[in-house]
Amino acid sequence: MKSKSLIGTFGLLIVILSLLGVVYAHWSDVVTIEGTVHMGELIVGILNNSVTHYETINGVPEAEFLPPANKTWVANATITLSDFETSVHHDPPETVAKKMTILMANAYPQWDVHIEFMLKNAGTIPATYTKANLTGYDVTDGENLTWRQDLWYYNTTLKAWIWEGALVDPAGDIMNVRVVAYVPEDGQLEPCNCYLVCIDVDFKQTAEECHTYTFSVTFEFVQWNKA
Amino acid sequence: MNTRKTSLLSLSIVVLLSLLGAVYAHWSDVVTIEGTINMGSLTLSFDYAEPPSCNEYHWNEDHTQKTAGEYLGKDVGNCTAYFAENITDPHTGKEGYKKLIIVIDNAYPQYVVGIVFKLHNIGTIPIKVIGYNITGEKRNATGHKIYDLLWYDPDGDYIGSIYEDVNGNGVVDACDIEVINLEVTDSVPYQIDPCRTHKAEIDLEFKQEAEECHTYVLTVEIIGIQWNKG
Repeated sequence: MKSKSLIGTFGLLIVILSLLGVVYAHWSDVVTIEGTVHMGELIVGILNNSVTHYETINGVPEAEFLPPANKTWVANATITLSDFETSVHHDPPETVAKKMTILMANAYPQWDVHIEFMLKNAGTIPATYTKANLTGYDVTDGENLTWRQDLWYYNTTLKAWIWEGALVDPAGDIMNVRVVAYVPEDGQLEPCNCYLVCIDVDFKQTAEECHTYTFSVTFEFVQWNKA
Repeated sequence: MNTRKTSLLSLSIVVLLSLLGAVYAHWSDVVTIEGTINMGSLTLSFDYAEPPSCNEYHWNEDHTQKTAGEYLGKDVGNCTAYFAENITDPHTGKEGYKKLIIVIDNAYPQYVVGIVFKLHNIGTIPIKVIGYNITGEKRNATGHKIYDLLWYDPDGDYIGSIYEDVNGNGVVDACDIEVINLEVTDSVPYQIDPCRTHKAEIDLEFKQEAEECHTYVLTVEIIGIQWNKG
């Protein structure tokens, strides 16, 4: 008998507490903030199919060099793109290459190579150029090469940054290099915009016969507000 | 227990920092240009396969025509030519020679000899032959130098004469003595493409003023440069 009344009391207590809970719930409220963040994308690369190049001899187009005009076969430059990346956000999707590989075969003094390509900000965030890392190596002699900077300035007429210098080894200059990057003075590349870059190379008389030289130039970019 | 807590904390910091690094890395970008340059080779040599040859001649009475062989068919003077200093182009592996040595024995006035040789471009870059640098000296019977020899070719066609520089002033003038007529039969410049050969000839004719029992040593350098160099 005693246990029956105890169970009854317990049941009653549960019902009362439930009622109190409802009452309490009515006297509270909730405001919710839900957020979705679509992060931007920072991709700078070389626009696919934008690379062109031509070769000259002493500044004259190979086919027009006299005499004679038929020795375009002597030296050859081959340029390929790799490490492709396609922008997720770009509409329509844009593919750029992260790496350009230049092979110059049977090079000789006063042979010149001129390369043009479009540098593209394929992302959605403005990107700013911060620095370039330049290295070089003489494979034949097993020694490091250095880069000499002669000029580095912004040409307000061309609206381009211009770098002039040379790849140098202890025996002398290997090649003169001139880079003209048609970018704004602050070095910012706007999303969806392309910027023409021209590289001119001419080989010096002090470049050594039968040598193999390698070089690497890395351009670094960060988001525009970080630089 | 404390040690465990410290280890866990360190690990957490490492993981956190790695994540931060990854996040930072994503907000920068890199474009790379890599280049490989294989330089060519420029190697002018005398031909490995074909040795040089000497051809003797004599003039007819009125000095208008050269006939093969010495005068009256005699064998008086003697010419020997051979290549020396074997070289191999490191790029192509082709062989050639750097030097052509010509020895003329028992020469005499109006002895005419032509030396035929073949040049070979064993490199990978076309060569432009732009000229010849001709020098020499006159030695006496004991081998001592008496005079320098000077090349005289006022119109630059490589048809000229060798003079003894009697007054030692380094230029041909009235005091000097003409001893050898020299002619290079190819007009310069001319180009030799890689793998190609070019046959050339140097003709020598000894003058009446060339001295007996003396030795004339001549050096002819053939100057080749890369085809596009002015």
